Amino acid sequence: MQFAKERMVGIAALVMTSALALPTNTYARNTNQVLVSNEKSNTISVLSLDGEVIKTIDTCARPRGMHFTQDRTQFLVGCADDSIIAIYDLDTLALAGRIMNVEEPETFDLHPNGIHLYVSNEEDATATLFDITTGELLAEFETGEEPEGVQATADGKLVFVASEAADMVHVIDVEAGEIIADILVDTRPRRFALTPDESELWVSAELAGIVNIIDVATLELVGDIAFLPTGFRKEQVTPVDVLITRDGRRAYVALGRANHVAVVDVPSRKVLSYLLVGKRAWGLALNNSEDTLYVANGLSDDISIIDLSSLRVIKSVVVGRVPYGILVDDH
Amino acid sequence: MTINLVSVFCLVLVLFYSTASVSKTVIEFPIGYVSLSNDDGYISRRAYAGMELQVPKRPLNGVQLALKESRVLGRSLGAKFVMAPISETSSKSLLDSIDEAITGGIAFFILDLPLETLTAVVGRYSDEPVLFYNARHQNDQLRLMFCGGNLFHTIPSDAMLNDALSQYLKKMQWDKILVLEGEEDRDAEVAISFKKSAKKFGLKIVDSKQFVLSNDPRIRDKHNIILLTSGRSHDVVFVADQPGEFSRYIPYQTQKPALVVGAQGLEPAAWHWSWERYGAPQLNQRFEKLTGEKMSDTEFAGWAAARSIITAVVKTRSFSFPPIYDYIAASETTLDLYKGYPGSFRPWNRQLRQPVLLHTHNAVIASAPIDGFMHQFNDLDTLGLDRVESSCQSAQ
Repeated sequence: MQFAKERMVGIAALVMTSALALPTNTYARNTNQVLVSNEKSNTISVLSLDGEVIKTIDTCARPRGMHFTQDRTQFLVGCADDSIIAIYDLDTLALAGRIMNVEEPETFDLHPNGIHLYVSNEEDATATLFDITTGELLAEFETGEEPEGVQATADGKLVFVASEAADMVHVIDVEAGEIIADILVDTRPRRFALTPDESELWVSAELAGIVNIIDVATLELVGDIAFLPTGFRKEQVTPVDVLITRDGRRAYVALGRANHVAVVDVPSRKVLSYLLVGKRAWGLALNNSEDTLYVANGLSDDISIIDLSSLRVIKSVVVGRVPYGILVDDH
Repeated sequence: MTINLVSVFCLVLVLFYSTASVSKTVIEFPIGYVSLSNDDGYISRRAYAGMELQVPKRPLNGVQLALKESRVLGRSLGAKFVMAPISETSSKSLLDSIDEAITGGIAFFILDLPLETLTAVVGRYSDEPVLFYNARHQNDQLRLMFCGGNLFHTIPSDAMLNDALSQYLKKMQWDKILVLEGEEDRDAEVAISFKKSAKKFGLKIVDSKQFVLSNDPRIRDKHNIILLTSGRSHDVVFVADQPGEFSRYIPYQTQKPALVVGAQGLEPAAWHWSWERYGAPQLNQRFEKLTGEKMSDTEFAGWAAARSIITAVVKTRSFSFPPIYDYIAASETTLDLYKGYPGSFRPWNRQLRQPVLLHTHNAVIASAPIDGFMHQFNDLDTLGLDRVESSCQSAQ
């Protein structure tokens, strides 16, 4: 019932926006849309930047990680239960292609060359390398169980893969095409963020309730940041997504079951503030001017929108069941 | 058997003498799995004409899964975790084999043994530098026998399971409980444990009756479900029935519409295949891939036992007993149990702290600690005997 209603609203909104939005779509980018993958309803919610649901499109089974292509004309969606990565055109939201036989993709990162996609294959304990232009499987790397976050460095030399169940970060040397190090981190590593100078790799350790900081040059652990919003127990703090701003000053960490987003001062590694969002906050995305943060709340089926200049949560928007990933297409 | 062990021992020797340079040679780290081949606990009990109601599972497949998962962990350590099976037909030969294994350097054992055999084994080696796991017996009494000794329990105790159920009933304000229990000793144990839990969480036991598996009209008040559930008004029927034959007929046959919990209806458990949060689907899928079956409680407990050893070795980067033991026993240890809360062992009775799942036949309805039940140190200690409730006071 609720779904049907949402659909109708979506269609009405679409009629309105298509007339308005068309001119800005000419270059097939900057659609001013926010895309949210809904893991359990097999849909992608399309929102305006201020958080109105424009429409909901059906996608493949269990959509999770999403990523723009290099030119930002298309985006990729990993569909775990279909073992495919679907490619959509941003302007039309039409299916443009599929990368087949990707074993249970969870998340992925695009190498700076814009062609090579490093994918974590959750059930297979592997990371795989695909050519997104041909869909060809180029390489496979043995990881610990439940590989999760994937992060390529800007110089394209290294790719990091977190293994949730093995408490490890695997380091792939791109040129050698092999894993050169397994870095032991805290319990259940999930996602990465690199500082803009790429000297530090931040990795969230979900069950330890902290972020580990790895020195990229030495591949050693050099620090931790612990989180504890007022009124919560350590065991309720389960950080997942981490973002660092382009100026390298601030980081945002989604704290999972603690239902907050932590705002961190990157140079001092101090938590500045905790912002109350929805239940099980995990996916994060910033807009281009980095003054708005979008938060996917996995257990309350909504998105929180945070105004970062005032550090206030300004809106929560109902999306599909178990929202996972967010893309903001505003540049 | 003997050949297996000998080969393991040789490698263990390598293990202890080469800790300084562990990274190059691959070292085998053995985990003993001790069982009796003719164990009464695994004789299948058929209800009627081949129908199996309870199919008890050995923790073994869970241990195998944890070992399989440890592949890449081993890669970073230059170690390989392997199982050293120790299986005999009698308790006597079993003790000899364990002696031999300990002499050979095996220090971690998962005991898949009947209760009496298990207590005999643990009692014999209580002063040795060895660590035993119970992944099978839920009895509260067993937790009080060895307190802070070297027997660690990865399966939840009756007290934990019943506390979980009681928290949920309290939260739903289904306060009035009728207790029905079968004739088995185990049913009495479970019923006593539930009554303690009910009292702890402020539920009211309106009546407690024993049922008999029979069709004899002279004792029909003991087997006719309408008669058994008549009398004082109640919200919920709690059933203690290990064989499960009688209790499966209670739902939909009560005198008034009543929910059934315990052995039927809403059941408390360490694990259920339908649990889908905190990465559980991945663990379930790995287990099903390995065995073709759905993971049971005891298999989960076997997995948790092996995983605690592997985690300790990896985190301490050590192959010697004291640091590994200290890591496992430490209260601040965080074991990833796929149930949200990090697991650790209680110092006073070596029980693994873990959430308890309340499930029907195909869904997990709730996970305890239920929201709102809090503890001054760790909310998981709202389940089971807390330090102050336990007669085990010797804990550090």
